Amino acid sequence: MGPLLKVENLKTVFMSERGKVKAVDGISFEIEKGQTLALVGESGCGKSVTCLSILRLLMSSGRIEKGKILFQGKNILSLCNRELRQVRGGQIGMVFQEPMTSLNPLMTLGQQIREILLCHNKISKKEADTRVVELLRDVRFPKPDKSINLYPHQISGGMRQRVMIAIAVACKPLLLIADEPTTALDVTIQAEILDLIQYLKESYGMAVLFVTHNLGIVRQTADKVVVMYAGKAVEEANTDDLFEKAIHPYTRHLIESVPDLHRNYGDFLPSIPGKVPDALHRPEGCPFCLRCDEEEPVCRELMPDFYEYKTDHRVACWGAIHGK
Amino acid sequence: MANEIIRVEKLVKRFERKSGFWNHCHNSVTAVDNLDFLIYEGETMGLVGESGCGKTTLGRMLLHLSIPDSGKVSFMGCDLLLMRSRELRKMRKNMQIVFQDPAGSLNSRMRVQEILSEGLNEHYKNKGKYWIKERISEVLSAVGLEKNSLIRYPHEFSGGERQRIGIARALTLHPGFIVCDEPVSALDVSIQAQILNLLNDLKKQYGLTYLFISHDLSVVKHMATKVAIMYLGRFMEMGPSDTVYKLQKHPYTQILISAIPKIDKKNQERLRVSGEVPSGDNIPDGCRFHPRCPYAETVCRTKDPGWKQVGEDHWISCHFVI
Repeated sequence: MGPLLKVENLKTVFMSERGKVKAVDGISFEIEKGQTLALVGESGCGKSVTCLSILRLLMSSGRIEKGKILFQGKNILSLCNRELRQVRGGQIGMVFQEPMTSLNPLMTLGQQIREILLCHNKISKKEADTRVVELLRDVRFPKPDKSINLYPHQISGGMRQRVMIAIAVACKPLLLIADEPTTALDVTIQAEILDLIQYLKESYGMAVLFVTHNLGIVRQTADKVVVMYAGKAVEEANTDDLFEKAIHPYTRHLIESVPDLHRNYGDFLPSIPGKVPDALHRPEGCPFCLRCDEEEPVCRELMPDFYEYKTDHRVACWGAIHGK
Repeated sequence: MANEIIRVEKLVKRFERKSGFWNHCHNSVTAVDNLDFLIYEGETMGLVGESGCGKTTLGRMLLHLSIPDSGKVSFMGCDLLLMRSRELRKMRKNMQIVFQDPAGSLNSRMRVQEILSEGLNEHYKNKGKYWIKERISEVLSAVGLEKNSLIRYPHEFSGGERQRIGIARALTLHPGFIVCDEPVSALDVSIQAQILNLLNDLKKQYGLTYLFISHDLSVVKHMATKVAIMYLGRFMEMGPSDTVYKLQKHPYTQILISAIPKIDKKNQERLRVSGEVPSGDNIPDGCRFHPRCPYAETVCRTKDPGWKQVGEDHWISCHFVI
């Protein structure tokens, strides 16, 4: 059997007043059943747009220009609306970054979780309600049977994120897309939410697509990592390989610039000079060439293809291809 | 001994909250509860804690942007509460703040030039336009922005550059003390490192003293010479940065450090903590951390542990740490 999700050469563009923005520019990756894949990159690199493209949730200004998204062998891009609705929330669940704005403030928690259960299953409201309590217990919500009548504003950020997760996993999806699920939370709460996702992943047998900019989280949760920069994937590897032997200069610098508790840096923390190129004026060749310290003349002209550095470790860099 | 810049004594801040029908219920939320500490010249004091623990309120009170309910804040020996508004205004050029959200804290209708000259026009009008212009370009190059930035608007810059503008604005008046309120939490890692390096360079160059507020313990470890760990309006631990991180004496410090997802090895062990930060309107009896503390015993539920000195400049609030 093929992979659970296979994204092939996905290109998503947005039409803005100033021109066409290539938010995702030819990205490919695969997720196996039960695997955790992390998409890492800085803001504006196209991580979230990739996720939204998978569920076809783009705003009207966004368009998938090219590529294939195969979920269990079926191309999501060619599904009709009815089939798509079954995939959204049914086979693929999604957790968004901001738990406050993604919940409806006028509905109780119970109603919001019940909604998705009634949409996807032929069950009575009463059956749905028992399932809601079960789900809340699964996401370790305190006093689940009493909490179903609470409104989102009555609970804390961490608890709201638990409700979001409960909604995402309500129909036992095969894939959970988590788009920066802990960015708005404190470290202690973040650790709990990460534990929870890990626990649900194991007990429901889900695969997880984890989007984050926090490399520590990647190290702790992911099996495989795709590093994105300016809409393109620059490196893909198993987590341990990536952290121990990153090839792409961007990945190496990114890992270095995370302040580590056990290291003494003196006064100077390693950083990447310059800034991410503007989405409308990206360089012709490798998008990282302007900030790269190992730049070659060819880098400015041509974006390298993915080069199989070794099994399961691919990198798009001329330096690696030329054997440095 | 270095000069003391900030002296805080028995500082308390409460916020009134009204609720119920026609706001007839009044209850108060304690944001900062009876704090004492000193900041010396040249220090960077790191202030760490979870959201809602009162970090920002404390930072604002040090600058008299928020008025304490009781207690005293002295800035270079002068009690800020007793100052008249005119004196206070003069004093303000010595103390500045860099805000968390670089986009929200810059006026989007002003050019960078106007943003940077606002404070100078207030305090140094007599020095003349030319002098002010010189000062602005000096500060601009100090934070690493190009000269043509002056005629641009904030929206034309990236997040990191906007934060540089925010820092430049704080620097224009030659302050001695700057409160950095989560200056890098809205930025990406690669940019975050640039801004942290910039803050360190500026500190050396101008002899600044910082209060560095952050929720990220690894960032604070890199920046601070002294660290205070705050929980529900009180300090749980305060001491030299190296000591606090090395000894990890207070259970809360241990929990915060172990909760950071580490980048260097997989499957880290971590201390479990139950529950969330309670709100300031319902502070637990005894040690305020006891409901979440893994080592809590009977005495923790009933008796406030107080503020004990456990080493040189190292203070702690816990019954079981000696």
